[in-house]
This record gives sequence, structure tokens and C-alpha cells, in this order.
Amino acid sequence: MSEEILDRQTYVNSRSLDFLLQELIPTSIRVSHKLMNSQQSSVEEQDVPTTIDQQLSSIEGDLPGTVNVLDSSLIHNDEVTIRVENYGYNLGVKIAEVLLYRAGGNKIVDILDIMKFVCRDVWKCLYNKQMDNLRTNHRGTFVLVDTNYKLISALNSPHGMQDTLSKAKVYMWFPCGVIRGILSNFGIEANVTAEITQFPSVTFNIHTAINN
Amino acid sequence: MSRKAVGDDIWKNNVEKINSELFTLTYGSVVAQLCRDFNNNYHEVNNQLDKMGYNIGLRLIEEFLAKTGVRRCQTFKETSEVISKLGFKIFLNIQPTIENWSADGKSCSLILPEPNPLTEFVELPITADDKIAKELWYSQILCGVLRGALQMVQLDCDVQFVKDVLRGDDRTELRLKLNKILKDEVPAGED
Amino acid sequence: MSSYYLAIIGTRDNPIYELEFASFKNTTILSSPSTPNTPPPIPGKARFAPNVKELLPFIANSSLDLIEDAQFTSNQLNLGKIDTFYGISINAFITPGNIKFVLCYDGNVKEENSIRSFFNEINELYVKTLLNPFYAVNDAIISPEFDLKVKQLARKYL
Repeated sequence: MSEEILDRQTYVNSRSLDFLLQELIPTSIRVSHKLMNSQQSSVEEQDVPTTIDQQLSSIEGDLPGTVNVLDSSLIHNDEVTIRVENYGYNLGVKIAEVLLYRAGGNKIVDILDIMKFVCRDVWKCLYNKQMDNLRTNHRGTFVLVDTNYKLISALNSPHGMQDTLSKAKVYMWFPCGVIRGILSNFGIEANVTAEITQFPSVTFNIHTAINN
Repeated sequence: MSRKAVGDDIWKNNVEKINSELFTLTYGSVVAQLCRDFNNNYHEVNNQLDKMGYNIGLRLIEEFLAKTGVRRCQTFKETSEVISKLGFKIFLNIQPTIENWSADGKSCSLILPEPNPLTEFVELPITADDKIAKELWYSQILCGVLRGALQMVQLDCDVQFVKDVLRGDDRTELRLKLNKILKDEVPAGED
Repeated sequence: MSSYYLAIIGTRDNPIYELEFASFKNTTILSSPSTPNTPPPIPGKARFAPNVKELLPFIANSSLDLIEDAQFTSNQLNLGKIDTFYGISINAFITPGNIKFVLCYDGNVKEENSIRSFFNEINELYVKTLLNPFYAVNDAIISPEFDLKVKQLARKYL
């Protein structure tokens, strides 16, 4: 670990992160599937390299290069959505610390400032753009709108828009987790949900116990 | 223009960039969660990472070929050069070195620079039995990516880690081995 | 020669890390006929009196209330000197994630700046620890590398 590591900014191709995020949902499904059927699957004793013709899990049609795994009914299972949300949560907790550290300066205490931090700094860092709209009822509820949400805007199911929306909903748990993780870093417990109001425009609903 | 210069140029001018911490933390979050999910059965974790990587590799190769315009390589040596100077550069902004060629020119070692965007800030937890350091290949996803990508250009390869700085080794080393060249046909799973 | 006690305390008032050390500077041995049984000072090794030494974790802990109060009066991360207790001064620093660094030290007027710099570097170290995917907030910090780096920072600033 070099001493100045946090002071020098390094970059990767944004596509690398896109690819990684895309794989989160299928991985969550496979992991949930495996854990739920633990009696039937064998315990791995060694590393088995993936090959093109071997199934990635015992889910029907789950071959490399296909998206059949997303058709599994498991995609709407709580286990899967909780897992996806958790990936986001863990990311949120840590990315908040890094961004705050780099921003230097003083503490952000006011809840509205914290929300602005999410809309501006966090979203810029994640998606190279800021959140488009932030509303609050000043009683702990916040509504954040991204009119062209990058994570799902490229999704397009061959089965039609309904199916795209239905699958996109699962992807949305990831940014919900990220936001919840960030707020948790500030000591705020929040309930974060998302809706796809008008594809690809999404709305995040955040309920906190804080009265501002 | 040399391959390296091509790679540098594409990285500089033709790639949308994000902070590497984002990538590092997302990947870290996945690995740590997998370890918890499988209750520290690290072989299972390695396998899931490998599967993820394989799927990514199958898709990533198309983008890679489109962006770089590389033609079919004549030798495996060329292939490995393309991987290190273009592939790793464009996607992760690192440039591994290639060493230890076998006599038949079919296998070599890829040495990853440290730190790299997958492993920055990572320290394997210290436990009494040291199981994690013996069994987990933290960056296993890379093996999957390489194998998947090479499969799509008709190269059947073995890719595995032999050393990892996170495990306490002096460097991070991948072994790449060409098994066979596949006939030109549409692989299973593609429509 | 000052002795120091650094404690890093989590969001649930749980200690995550502790270190006792002494200033590495000014290690000339002053022989004093009135205390012939006192062993010579070892550079870097804290020399708190035994009764004080026992109390240090408690002192750090009880300063948490003061830190809670102080954090609302100032929006700085570095809270500076927040208390004294029988000759032991207490400086504190609070991170945005509500983790507290508490430094107890004896005696002389200390330059606030060197403690501030020390705290800032500890903060950077802490953030790096947080970035480790296998480390969760409020876990104890047991990495030997962390320990070594803290000692190096202590040598540098204090």
C-alpha cells in the first residue's frame, strides 16, 4: 500500500463496471438457487473452470452466454432481491467514506445536505451525471428522480416491454441498496425503494425517521 | 503504431472512465458477500467468480474487437500480447507483463501489476486456519473473463492463478495455456 | 517525554483499536538521584504510571460524552483538546462515519498542529482499512500492517 494512494485518482473503463453490474443479478439468482437446494447440489471440493457447454447452475437453460437464468421464477424471490440490495448496501457504505474523504472539508450534518450529496457527488461518481430532481416533504421523506437511469436504460427484453420492466425492477434494488448504505454511513436509517415511472426514468423513494 | 501505443491511445481518447474505487469496491462487495453466502467454502466462491467472468468475457470480446479492430492473431504469442497491451489496458488501465514461455509456445505467465483495480486496499482476513489464504483466488473473475473471451475467438484455453500477492506471494501470476484451436463454428448458446 | 494512548472507538462506543506509545523525540536520559529505581526511558514505550495506565480506557470512554457534545458545536472533524483529567490531556477527532479517535497524553503543552496532522493521517489509514471488502464498520482492527503504520505515524508527528 503506497502512502499516497488515496490522493492519486486512478480510473478504469466504465464498461468494466457495467459488465460487472450486469452479472450481479444472474449471480444472485444462481447463488440463491444453490443455497436453497443445498441438499441436492454437491459441496464443492475444488475449483471447476467454466466451459461453454456446461450449465452454470441447475436452473433450466442456464448456459454461458444465455440470459435464460433471468427467466427463472427466482428472479422475484426475496432472497435474490435482498442479495442484490446487499451488494448495493456494502458498496454504498464504503463509497460514502471515500467520497467524503476525498472531498475533504467538514462534516455534513443536515439531512438535506446529505441528500444533495447523494444526488450530486454520489450520482456523478457512479453514473457521470447528477440526479435530475430532488423533492422532500420536510418530514423525512425524499423523492429522487433520474430521468435516464443508466443501469437499466440499455435493458431490452426480446419478450417485450412488460418483461423488460419486470426484470429491470430487480436491477433497481442495487441502487436502492447503495443509497441506503450511504445514509447508514451518516447514521441515518432509511427505507429505500424504487419505481420505474416511465422507462428509463426512475424514482427513488426514501423514508427516514428524521424530521427536517 | 506499436500495440502499446494503440492501447494507450484508445485508453486516452476513446474510453469513458470512472473512478477505479467504484469498481474495486463493487467487486470487493461481491467477493465478500459470496464468502459469507457460502460460509467460507472458497472453492464455491472461486467457481461463482469464474462463471461471472466467463459470461462477461463472452460479451466483452465483441466490444474489444470493435474498439480495437484487431485482426486474427497468427500465433499464440501475438494473442497474449494483444491481451496484455490492449485488453488489460483498455478495460482496466493496467499492463501485465508476459513471461515464462513454454518451449512449444503454447503457454505463458501473465504477471499482474500490484496494486490493480481489483485488489487495491484488499487484505485477506487473518484467521487461525489460514483457509482463505490457501483456497481463495480473489481475482478469479479474470480467469473466467479471459477464458470466455478467448473461447469466442476459437481458442480453447486454460487460465488459472498460480500466485497471488494477497495470499502472501511475491507477485500475482496467471498461467495461460492454449489447448486447441476450435473450428470456425457458431458456439452453443449464441442465437 | 510524553506518553500517549490512542484509542479508536466505533459507533457503538466499542473500542476497535488501542495503542500505547511514547514520543520518539527527546529521548535523553535524565538521571535523577531522587528516583534511583526508575528504569531509563525506552524510546517509544509509554511511561504512564500504573494507576493511570489502568484508567486510560475508561478515560477514553468517558470522553465520549464530551465528544458527542463537541461534535454539534463544531463541524470540524478535528475537535482538538476536549478535556483534561489529572494531568492527562485528551484530544479527539471524529470521522464522518461517526468513528472517534481519542488521544490521551500526559503533560506538556502539545502543539495542536502535530496532533491534528497525526489525526488526519490516522483518518487516511482508517479509510483505507474501510475500503477492504473484508472489513466491516465496527470490526476490531487487527491488521499488523495497520499497527505498524500507526507506529510510523506516531514517530513522525509526535
